Formats: sequence, structure tokens, C-alpha cells
Amino acid sequence: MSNKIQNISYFHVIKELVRTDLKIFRKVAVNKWIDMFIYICTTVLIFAYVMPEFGLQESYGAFMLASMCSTTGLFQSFGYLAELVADIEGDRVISYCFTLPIPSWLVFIRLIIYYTISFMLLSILVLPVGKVMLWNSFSLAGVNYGKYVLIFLLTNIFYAVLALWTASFVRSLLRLDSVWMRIIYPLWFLGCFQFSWASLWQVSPALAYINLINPITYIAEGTRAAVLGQAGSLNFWYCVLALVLFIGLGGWHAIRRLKKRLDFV
Amino acid sequence: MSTKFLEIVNVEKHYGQKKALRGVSLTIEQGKIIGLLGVNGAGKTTLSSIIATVKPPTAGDLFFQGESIYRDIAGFRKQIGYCPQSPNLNSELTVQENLEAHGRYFRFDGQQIVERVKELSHGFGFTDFLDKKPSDLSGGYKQRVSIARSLFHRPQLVILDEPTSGLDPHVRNQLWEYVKKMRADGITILLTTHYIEEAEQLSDYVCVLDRGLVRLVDTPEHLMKTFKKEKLEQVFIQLAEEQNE
Repeated sequence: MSNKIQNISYFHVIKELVRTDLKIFRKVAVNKWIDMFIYICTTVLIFAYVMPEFGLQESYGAFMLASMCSTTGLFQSFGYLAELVADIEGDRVISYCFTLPIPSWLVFIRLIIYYTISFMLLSILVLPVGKVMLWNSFSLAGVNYGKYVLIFLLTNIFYAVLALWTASFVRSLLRLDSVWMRIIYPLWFLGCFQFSWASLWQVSPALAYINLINPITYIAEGTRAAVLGQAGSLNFWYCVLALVLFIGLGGWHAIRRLKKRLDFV
Repeated sequence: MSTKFLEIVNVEKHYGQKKALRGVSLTIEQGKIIGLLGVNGAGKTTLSSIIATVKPPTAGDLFFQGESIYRDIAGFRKQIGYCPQSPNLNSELTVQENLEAHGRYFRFDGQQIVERVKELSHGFGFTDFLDKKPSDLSGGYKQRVSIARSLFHRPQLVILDEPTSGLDPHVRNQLWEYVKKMRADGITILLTTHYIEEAEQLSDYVCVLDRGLVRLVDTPEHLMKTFKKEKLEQVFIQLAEEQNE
């Protein structure tokens, strides 16, 4: 056996696996960007230009734009989840990865890396397209870019972990609809996407405290704190801390459950 | 004098209440072809997937060069090539891209990848399909590509699980020639097969599994002599009948 093969590092294999994943992503990227573009344009159009006619504040368009920066990955994660479940149920390309010279759990770390990169590539459009649509109603000068990059990264890592975690217990493709209705939709709709946590607290403090167990709350609040400023949002650094905890716990639990489901070494 | 390549000690595999393997012990010798035989449900695929490190055993251990393979699983995986019963090629990549990706995982450089793809696609007769996706190929061609991928990095142990099922006779013969060539190159091969003729032609020794246990391990010639049969197939039929009694 050649020295080259003997000296393969885990990093090398992971890097090449992600490279292959991105090669596949490239084939569908334009399509996905068009989907994103439609999603951003329709949402901003309705919330910035139509809903104010029904009494909503004009600044609600900027509020929703910041919320969208945080949730586009969530919708993409559903597609990746479906792909993963289809593979587990079908060809099991993932089993091939268990024969490569890396510990099996790293196969999932590679999936998290790939999902995160692709969610970021897709979500990166939201802010500039939204700015063009809102123009004077939204200022890019108010964005704290350091904080935005940090929360953007953590958000998309979280969605990658969420896709794995969900795949670990979805038994078949036929049950994917339930994942949408029972997990993704409530997380998103209750997760301070269309309202702030402070406004929820004014309506019902009990509901607001319960909502603190929803990771999307921290994602939406943290992103708005970075894009629109801290005022009116949960403390940015609390959101970061909560997200790190959700990622750590979710990742650990997802790999544990997948190990049981896929029965890998 | 043969050298131990891999030692399988008391390996068990349970799926809930079902015991697929019930304490299998077997030695795989360096540079030899071992044919793994057994009726459906005997545990052949389970054992080969455990050796390929795709599945863990419930109990028991596997020793490579005196050490448990689970102490350095990544190190052991560098030594093996695994072709599963159902080809699991990436359906989004072309045949060529599937092979190239495998080469990159094993640190082959660009030129080496080009040469190896050429060599293997000629060897297995799928040169004309390099730009096709696996979904455009027949089952037989998918199987050829899958075998080629398992050999790409020149592993020391190749695990072929039912490699010729669904292949045309002439392709099966081509694969047999390739397997013989690999043996001549000193590669160890574990061959799971339903075709007794294949096991007879290729195997240095065969292991017959019966309901999760090793029934016997011997050379085909010695088995035929012991059972006073002219073909290994007749030995196998006799064993299967004894098993049913």
C-alpha cells in the first residue's frame, strides 16, 4: 500500500467528501437561487407594500427582511432531510461513506458542514435582494456585520443539525408531511419570525417564556439584533449562547439516534 | 506457508430477537480467495458487512495484524475495498465522477485518477458509459462500476458480496479473470456467492455458513474428495439437504 494512502488524514477525506457534495450542489444551485429569489421578493412585497394598507407599520418590511435572513435555511433543511431519508430508505449511498478511511461519526459532521455551506450560499441573497426591494425603508449602514456573520453561521449550522436530527427518526418518506406540520411549521410560526419576543411577552408572559425553548426564537431575535439593532430584541449574546447549546445537544442526539437507526460502527 | 490476514473471533450479530450470526470464528489468509457460501439467510451478507466495517458485531472481535480493527477503524478501512450486493453509487454523479471522487478520497492525484479510471473502465468494459449517470445503466453495468470502485485504491482485502449476480456470463468470466489476476497480485479476496461453480473456480478455500454458524471450512478439492462428489455444487446440495433434515 502506498505511503500516500497510509497518510490520508481525516481532514483530507472530509474535505473531498464536501467537495463532491458541493459539486452536486453546483448542478442545482441556479434553480435553488431562483426559488430563493421568488421567496424573498414575494414576502418583502407583501409585508412592505401591501400589509401597511391593512394598518401594519411601514417598518414591518425591514423587520420581516431581517426575519427572512434567519429562516431561509429552515425551509431548505426540509429538502435535505427528504434527500437523506430517501437515501436511507433506498440506495444507501451513505453506507459507502462508512467504508472510507474516517470514523463513521465524521460522515455526519461532513453532512453538517455541507448543509451549512449550502444553506449559507442560498441565504446570502436575502439581504442584498431585500435592500433593493425596500431601498429607503432599510439601511445597510445599521447592520452590525460582525454579529451578523456570527449569527448567520450559527443559524445555518443549527438548520443542518436539525435536518440530521429529524432524519434520525423519520421512518419513511410517506411521513415527511408530518415533519413539516408537526415540527418545522410550529417551530417557524411560533418562533418569533413575524413578531418579536417582547411583543409576545406583552400578550402573554407565560407563552413568551415557553417560547424560549424554541430555537427559532433565538435565531430570529439574534438576527434582528444584528441587522436592525439590539433595541426590542433578546440580548444578542444570549441568543448566541442558546444556539450553541442547541447545536451541541442536537448534534450529539442526532448522531446517537442515527447510529441506532443505521447501525454503523 | 500462509499468513493470517484477518482473524474473526466469535462474532455474533443480533437484529432484535433474531440472531443472524451466532459466534462465527474464521481466519482469512493473506493472498487467498475465500468463498463464503450458504443458503439465503445463512448470514453471508451480514458477515461480509461486518468485515467491511459497515455494521458492528453485537459480540466478538476482528483482529488485523494482531490488533482489534476497532482500535483504528480508519486505518483498517484503508486496507479494504467493499462491493455490496446492491450497488450504492452516487446517482447525482456520472460513472466517471463516482470513480474520480473515490480516487480523491484515497489521495490519488489527477494523473493517477485518469489512468486508473481508464484501466478499470477497460477492464470491466464500461468505457462507453463513463459520462452516464448510474440511473441510466442496467443492473449489470452498475455492478461492474461498483466493483471497479471497490478496487480503485488497490486494497489488500477486497470484499465482493454477490458480485456476479445479474451479470451476463461473458462479463462474469471477465470478472473471474480479474479476480484471478488480483490473487496473482497478492490481494486477499472474500467472495460471497450463490454460484457454487464460481466458488469452485475461484476459491482457494470455502466457508459454508449455516444459520449463523460456520458449518465447515475447507478447500473445494478436499471437500469433493471427502464427500465423494465430482462437483462442489453436489457437496453443497448434500450439505443443504442435511441442514434441512
